[in-house]
Amino acid sequence: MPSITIENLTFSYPDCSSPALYEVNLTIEAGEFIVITGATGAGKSTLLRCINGVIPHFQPGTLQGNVWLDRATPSGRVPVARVSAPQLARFIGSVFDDPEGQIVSPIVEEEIAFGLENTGVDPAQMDDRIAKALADCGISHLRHRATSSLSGGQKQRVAIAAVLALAPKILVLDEPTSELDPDGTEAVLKVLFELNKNHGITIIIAEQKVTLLAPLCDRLVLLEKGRIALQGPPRKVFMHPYIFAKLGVELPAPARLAHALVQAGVLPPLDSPDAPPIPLTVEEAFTLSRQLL
Amino acid sequence: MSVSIEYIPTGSPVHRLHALTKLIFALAVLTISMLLSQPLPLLLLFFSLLGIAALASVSQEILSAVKGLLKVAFFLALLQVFFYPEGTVLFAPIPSLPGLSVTDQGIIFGISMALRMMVIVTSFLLFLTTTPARSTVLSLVEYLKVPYDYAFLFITALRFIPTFLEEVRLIGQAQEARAHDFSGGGPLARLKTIFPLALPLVMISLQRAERMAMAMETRGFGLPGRTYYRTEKPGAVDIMVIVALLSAVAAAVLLRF
Ligand SMILES: Nc1ncnc2c1ncn2[C@@H]1O[C@H](COP(=O)(O)OP(=O)(O)O)[C@@H](O)[C@H]1O
Ligand SMILES: [Mg+2]
Repeated sequence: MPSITIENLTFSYPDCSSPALYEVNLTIEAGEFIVITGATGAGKSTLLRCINGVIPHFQPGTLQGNVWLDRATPSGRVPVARVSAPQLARFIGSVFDDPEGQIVSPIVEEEIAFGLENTGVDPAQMDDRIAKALADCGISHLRHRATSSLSGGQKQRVAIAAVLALAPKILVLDEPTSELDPDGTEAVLKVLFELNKNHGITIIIAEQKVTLLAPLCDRLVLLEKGRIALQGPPRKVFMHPYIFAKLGVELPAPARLAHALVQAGVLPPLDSPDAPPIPLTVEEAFTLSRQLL
Repeated sequence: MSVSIEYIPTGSPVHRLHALTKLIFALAVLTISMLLSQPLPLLLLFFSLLGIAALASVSQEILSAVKGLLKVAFFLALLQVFFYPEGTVLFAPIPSLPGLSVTDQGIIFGISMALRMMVIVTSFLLFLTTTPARSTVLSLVEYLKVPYDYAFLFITALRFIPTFLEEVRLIGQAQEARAHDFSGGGPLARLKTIFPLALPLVMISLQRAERMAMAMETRGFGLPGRTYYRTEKPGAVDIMVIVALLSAVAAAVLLRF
């Protein structure tokens, strides 16, 4: 069942001659973990802003086409642009790239409570929901900490927990790890993976770190100058190293190894029926190499 | 001076007061400082603010801001001293220009003016460093029924005070260096010189408010029927402080008229 359906979406920022997104069509299934990638300026953030309603609710510009949100209610799907930003919060949780700008409360538990208060949740239920959101993000121990004292990775997990408390069906995250160190990045991605697997939350994330996300995601979408250049499951899209090279997106090392093995004549062409699947992780690459020896 | 002043969580008794109480405090100090015309009471008021800053454990930040303020205050005092026409003439630096003479009342007026500015700015800095922006927005919306777009604007404007003063000081220095008469041209001309410099800073400030509005609205802020995790109602201490503040304002009004 589709969760988000994007139809012929074209968007231009004010006073920009060329559109930041051009005729984008994309259907995102409920429960999917989808990674949007591409070079800087390819339009990743713009696409996410159209999905989470920041465009048109906060960012002006010219919008054509539609982004449909399936609310799984009898009234069916609605264009995101028609649902007010606070209303959208119940369906789509948005996490932005900078950990500072999105945290509004001095204490972690107040930050989690904020969305619950806004959506009129009964205060008697709040403690449980705060505890659950924090536990799901692996940060129960931070509950009473001052938000200003947290590391970047902790702040991003607080930001995720804060939107998660509203029980959204979809999480939209714009480079949530761009300002984080490797440990923080790993912790945040692990949380997203578990939310997707255990709670069936649709994850839509813009990231440059394809290597880390390939083993976690269902689908990769490569953007080029506001258009979808390539999309599919990671093992499929990694069959096209030249497109990655052309777009300036780094092909993960395990996939590069597979291509090198083909070139060396050790492996059959990767699209032939007897070729092994492209490895996504170092472990898979190791297993493949071992089989060959 | 930093570009903007931020909430500093120290958990002091001042921090624990309700945002509304602290807002009333800043406004009461503003009113009282307007009613006082003598340097001494204004100086006393100023030192009590520093005392409160110490109580709130934000002295360091406030003092560094005050240091920046001193220069602006000095300019302000100087301007008043030279251009205040009334009172007994103490001396005239340029005999052919009687308008520039220094009078006893001019000195008092200049010093009071400078102190008043320091008092007002310091009280708002105290408010900003001890109150999270979120609580201010909530108080404005919930208690004072301010539409929340305006509440965000208010926060932005407040945060912008130190930046703006710093700008004024820099412009003053630059004009001094170029041997410009700072008072040259009307207030409009002066504003024109400040404007292009201040504009990018206003933009940054507005962007930040916009980002905060986005962070809040994408989490449901603005929906009807808001509930409260912990009732953020003003407590007994808050009521006492507010009553004391209002009495002080009333006393100042009575003394003045
Ligand atoms: N707020 C904005 N105003 C004007 N142009 C913008 C704005 N944000 C992005 N753009 C432009 O839109 C294009 C796509 O940008 P963006 O979606 O931010 O790409 P990415 O997130 O992939 O780096 C770029 O050419 C960028 O310069
Ligand atoms: Mg981006």
